[in-house]
Amino acid sequence: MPVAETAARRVQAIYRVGLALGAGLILAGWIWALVREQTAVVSPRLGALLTTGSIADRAVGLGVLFLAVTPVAVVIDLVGSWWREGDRRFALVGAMVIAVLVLAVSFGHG
Amino acid sequence: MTAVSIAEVAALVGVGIIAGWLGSLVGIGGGIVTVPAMVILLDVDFPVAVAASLVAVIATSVTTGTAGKGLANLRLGMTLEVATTIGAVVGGVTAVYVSESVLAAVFAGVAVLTALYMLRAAHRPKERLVEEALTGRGWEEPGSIAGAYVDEFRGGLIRYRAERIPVGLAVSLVAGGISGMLGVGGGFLKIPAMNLGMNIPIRIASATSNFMVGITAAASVFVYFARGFVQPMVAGPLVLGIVAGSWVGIRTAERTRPALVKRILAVTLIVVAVEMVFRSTGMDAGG
Repeated sequence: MPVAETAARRVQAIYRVGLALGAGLILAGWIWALVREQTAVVSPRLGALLTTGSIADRAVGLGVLFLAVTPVAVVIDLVGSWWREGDRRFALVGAMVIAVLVLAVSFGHG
Repeated sequence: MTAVSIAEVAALVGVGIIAGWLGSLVGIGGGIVTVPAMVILLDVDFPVAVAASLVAVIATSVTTGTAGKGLANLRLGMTLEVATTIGAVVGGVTAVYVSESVLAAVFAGVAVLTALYMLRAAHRPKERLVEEALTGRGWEEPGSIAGAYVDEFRGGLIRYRAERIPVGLAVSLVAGGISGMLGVGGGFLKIPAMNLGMNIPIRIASATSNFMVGITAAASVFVYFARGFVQPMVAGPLVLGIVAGSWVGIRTAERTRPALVKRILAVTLIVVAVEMVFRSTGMDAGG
């Protein structure tokens, strides 16, 4: 199988895992919230996501976080893939995108 | 919103289903539907609606990515993302300092532009729409922004090579800024820029835009996290609706009429734009 096709399939696999984890946690958290009537709205900062609110809040928040980092994981995977492939120019381009995403995450910590 | 009621959860899931269905069917990120629906119908604060919408845009991109046909040119997408992510972070940071009335006015303008893009897309000949709906696999040329894909409708291999990359980067920077500020995907800018400005085939441009919007939204959603605008209990039901709507859209694409859906969406967006303008001026008058 060509290298490019393998990379595309791996990207698809990352999307599937991210979607399953993210949507699964959000659904589980919401079922918990409805059963326990814990539907108060909280606004957690990124660094306090696992310590703010009820168990339901934390599960839904973690699900949202899993979804948000899925595209980041795809970018990291592609950079590694292109680097191994010898396509240094695009590995560098991807690294620049990662640098901006890291900057954004650092904003997220406030 | 201090607590989410069952009715509000149902409404958020419903908005998500419609946005996800539209996103997978006509190729828009969904934010152009979810933001006004939350602000106008559910009275959610604008920045909270934008943050939830960004999570929804990521969900749309990820869900569509699981059913990808390999048409997205990842090198093209990554190159443009350098500009788009910078724009998204700047847009997310700037949005905090811009008044809601200005954001509503800008959103109205973006809604009108998207409506015009939808109307233009709806006027493509039927054969073209059938052609775009056909499956196909793409290949990328390592070391450059070029590739090829199998066009089953024409029965041949279509080769392409990106031209005028600075044009694509400039438009992507603006699209990223709008995405970070308003919670929309920005595909209405990126797809024409890639297609008309960079000479990329529309199918490749559309698939690449879908790949890009998730990364762009991820860049700005972390900025909204810092400001406390990401409310998981609001974003969660929206995401579940988006995933369900996208799933339905992908599986019913062959039985629906995309041109009709695009025209209905265009009219809806014009109504949304008018409502946003009223809100914008109302806020100004009140403030």
